[in-house]
Amino acid sequence: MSVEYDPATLEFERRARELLERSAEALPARTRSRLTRARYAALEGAAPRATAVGRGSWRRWLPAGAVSAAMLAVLLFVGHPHVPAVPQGSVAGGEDLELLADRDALALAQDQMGEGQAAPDQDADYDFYSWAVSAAQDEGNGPVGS
Amino acid sequence: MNAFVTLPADTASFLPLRNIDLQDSTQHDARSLERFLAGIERKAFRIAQIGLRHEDDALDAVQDAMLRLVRSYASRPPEEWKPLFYRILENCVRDMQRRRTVRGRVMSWLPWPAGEEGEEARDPLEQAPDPAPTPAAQVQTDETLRALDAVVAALPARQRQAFLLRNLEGMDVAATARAMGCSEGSVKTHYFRALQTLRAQLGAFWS
Repeated sequence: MSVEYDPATLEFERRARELLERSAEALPARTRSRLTRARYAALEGAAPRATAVGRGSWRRWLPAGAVSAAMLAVLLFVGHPHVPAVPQGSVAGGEDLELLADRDALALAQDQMGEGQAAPDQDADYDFYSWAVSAAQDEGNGPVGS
Repeated sequence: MNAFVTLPADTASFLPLRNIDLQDSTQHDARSLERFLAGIERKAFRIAQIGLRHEDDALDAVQDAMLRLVRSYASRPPEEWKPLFYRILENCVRDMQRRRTVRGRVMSWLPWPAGEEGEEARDPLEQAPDPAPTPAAQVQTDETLRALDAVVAALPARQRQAFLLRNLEGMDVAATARAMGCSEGSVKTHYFRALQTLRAQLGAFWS
C-alpha cells in the first residue's frame, strides 16, 4: 500500500515530529535521573526496583485488599461460619494433658491402673515392702546384728 | 571465542556493568545493550507517558520493558533490539492500562474517593500533563505540545503506536511492523488514519 501525503500533511508530520523529539530531549532532570536508575536496575537483572520508580505502587494492592476485606466481612457476618463440634476424644486428650501437667494427679491415675500396669515408682514401693517383710522375718529369728 | 578480551581503558566508566550476568552475552554485548537502552529511554518514556498519562506508571513500564529485553533478548542481534523493545513496551503499557481499568472498577465500589490513580480520563485535554514543572513548558509551543499529547493519547491503541513509533522514534515501516506484530500495510493504514485524526483535531492549535 503506497500512501502519498499532501504538503499540508507532510508539514504537520514534520512539526509533530519536531515537537515530540524536543519534548523527549527536554525531560526534567529528575525524570532523566529516574530513567538512568531504571536502566541500571534493568541491567543488573534481579536488582530491586528503584524505590522512586515504584513510588505509589502500594496503591495497586489497595483494590485487592478491599476485596479481601469485603469477602472476610461477608464470611463473618453473613455466612454463619460452621463451628465444628469438639469430639469426645479431644476432651479426653485434654484430661490427659492435665494429668501430665500435674504430677500428683498422674500418680493417682497410675494408682487406679491395674497391677500389671504398675508404674516404676510403684515397683520401687513393692521392693521396699519386700525388703521390709524379709527384714521382719529376720527379726523374728533374732535381732539383726545382735 | 577468546575468553581474555582486552578491554579499553575507559571500561571502568561503565560501572553498572561490573556485576551484570547477561547469560551468553559478552561484556561487549552488555555495553552495546546499555548504549542502546540509554539511546532510546527518553523517547520510550515519552511514548509510555502519552499512552499512560502518568509519569510513575510510564517509568515502571519502561523499566519493565528494559528488564524483559535484558533477560530474554540480550543475545539477539542488536538490530532486533529496537522492535523487540517497543513491542515489549507496548505490552507493558497495555497491561498497566488493563490494571488501571480493573482498579477503577473496584475503586468505584468503595465509599471513599478513588484518588489520582483511580480516576479515568474523561477529557483528553484535561488529562494533558501540567506544563509548569517540565522544561517543555519553557518552549514557546508548549500549548501545542500538550494538545498533541492529549489527542495522541486519545487515538486508538494501534494508531497511537504506529504514529509514535514512526513519528517520534523514527522507525521505518518495516521495523514498525515488526514492533507492532502486523504487516507493513497495516502500519501504513494506522499511521495514515492517525495523521488524519490528529490534523482534524489539532487544526486550531496548528494554524
